[in-house]
This record gives sequence, C-alpha cells and structure tokens, in this order.
Amino acid sequence: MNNAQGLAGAMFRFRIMAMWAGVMSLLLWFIDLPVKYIWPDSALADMVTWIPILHGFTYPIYVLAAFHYCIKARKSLTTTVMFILAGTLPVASFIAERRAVDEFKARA
Amino acid sequence: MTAPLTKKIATALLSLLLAGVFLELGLWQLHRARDVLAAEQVKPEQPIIALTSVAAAGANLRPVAANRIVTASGRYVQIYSAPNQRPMLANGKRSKRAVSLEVRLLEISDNRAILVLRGLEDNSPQTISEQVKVTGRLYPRQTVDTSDPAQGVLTRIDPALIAGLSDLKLFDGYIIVREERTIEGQKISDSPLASPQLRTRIAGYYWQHISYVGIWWLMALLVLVLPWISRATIKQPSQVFTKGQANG
Repeated sequence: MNNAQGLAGAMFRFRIMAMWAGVMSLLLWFIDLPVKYIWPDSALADMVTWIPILHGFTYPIYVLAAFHYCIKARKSLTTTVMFILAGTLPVASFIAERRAVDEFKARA
Repeated sequence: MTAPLTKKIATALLSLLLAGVFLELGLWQLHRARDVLAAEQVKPEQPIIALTSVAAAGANLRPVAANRIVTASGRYVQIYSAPNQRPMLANGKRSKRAVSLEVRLLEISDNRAILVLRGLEDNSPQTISEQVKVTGRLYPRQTVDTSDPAQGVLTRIDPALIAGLSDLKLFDGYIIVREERTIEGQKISDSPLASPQLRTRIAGYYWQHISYVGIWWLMALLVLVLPWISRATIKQPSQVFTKGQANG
C-alpha cells in the first residue's frame, strides 16, 4: 500500500470518527449535561446515562484516527493537537472533517 | 551545547511534564470511579443510639450523626405543616409527587427539642398528649424552601426557622419517624415514609470515569511520542501524493 492509499484510508477513518465524535459531543453538551444539572433525579436523567459513557469509550478511537490522519498528511504538531482536541467540542470535529476533505481535494 | 540538542532536551522535558500531568489526571479519574462505586454501596447500619449521644442541641449536626438511627423520648409541643415536599423513596430518590408532611416539635429533657417528621399531613392531626419514644433516622436540615411562609408552615424542614419562637434549644436536623411508641411501649404509629440512608452524590458514572482514565493515559502516551513522530515525518520528503500527481 503506497502513501496516497494510506492517506485515503486514514482520512476515511478520521471522517467517520469525526462525525461520530461530533454527534456524541452534541448529545453530551446539549442533552446529557442540561438534563443532568436541571433535572438530576428525573427518569430523563437515567435515560441519558449512556451518552457520557459511550462518548468516553469512543473518544480515544477518534483521537487515534485523528493522530493517524495527521501523521499520514504530515500535519504540524500544532495542527495535530488542534485536530485531536476538536473531538471534545461540539461542531469542532465537523469543521476539522470538512477542512481535511477540502485539503485532500485541493491536493489531489 | 548545540541549539538543536537544547531544543530536543526542552521538548523531551515538556513531553515528560505533560505526560506526568495526564497520568495524574488519569489517576484522579480512577479515584473518582472508586468513589462513585463506594458511594453507591449501602453502608451497614450502625446500632440504634440515643439522639443525645450523637448530637447536641444548639450545635451543627456532625457528619457522623447524620444517617444514624436514633431514639428520643419526650412530648410533642407543636405541629407544623411542610407543604410541597417530595419525600424520599426507599431507593434513595425523591418522589415525583409533591405532598404535605406533618412535622412536630418533640421536646425532650433539659429544655431541648428536635423536629420530627411523622408522615403525610392529615386534615385532623392525631392528638398525642402523652410522652412518646421516637425511633427514626436523623437527617441534616433542608436548605431549599418548598413553599411560601405562613402561620404553622415550615417552608423547609429546618429548625432555624423556629429558633426564635420559643426558649427551647433545638437540635440541628430532623428525624424521620420509623416507630413511635408511648413510654409504656404501646405503638402509636409507623411512619408511611421511607427513610433510606442519604448517599453522597458524586458526579458521573463508574464506567464514564473509567473511560476518562483511558483517555488521559492515551493522551500521556501521545504527548510522549507525538514530538518524535512529527519530527521524523516532517524530515522526510513528501511522498504522499505521488499517486495523485502521477495520475494528474
């Protein structure tokens, strides 16, 4: 497998995980946290327990995917850190994913 | 010492420092996970003890006294209503339905008194003129008002609200009745209210904290390898788009 194929594969994995991390961040910030702090004893709070747990266990996969993509795309240290941190903020990982796709298209 | 070597040493030290911080954050999450597990466990009940042995009138309720099942003997001197309360259920959660509760002031020896939560409020409260012996769990005072102030109404179950109304020295907190008997031993009532142990609430869930342990330790690993991988890849000439360029 040459570098271009490797990059395409890494970017594909990064895109999937960026979208997943973005959705999970949105759920965490705009559903789990408000419910937990506004109605802590409600049945609704029990229903959203899975959100932080699933986010916690899948975020490392996003980190690895972002790390691998940045290495393959020869990103700078700062950009790599920014891509990794993008998974923690809602919408940021969507922006990172769009940026990666645009760069890939521009270079190809 | 050459400049690149100094830079390498500085990078290595910074990596180690950051890795150490992330490692510690992982350990902190691990401890939080253990705390969550410990808080969820029901602690074994301690033996029933006299109220005056674990608490003192006019003093703040000590943490060791809260949650203890205590006994107190005396005479009810006042009846209050605590409206719009959501009593605790046996599983430790609050009831969804708001109700009015009957709270009485129990005067015990030496001019001391404590608030006793007897159960749901009745339109015609039971007359209890004789001495009673109350057994129940001791809870810390409430801090949030559930109703507006009115005559005979406790906006929250807090002895501070009635502190100036008599010359009685009040115990901090209140008792939820489990059993109420006359001094002769005749049962007066069993409380319809559950009185479970109050548990310390720690934010988050066990598996959530465990997952954060993984994240922080992964971060520690990454900051150790990231500077060196990054340098190694940047040094190499770009061969990434050779296929795209060849096709173009």
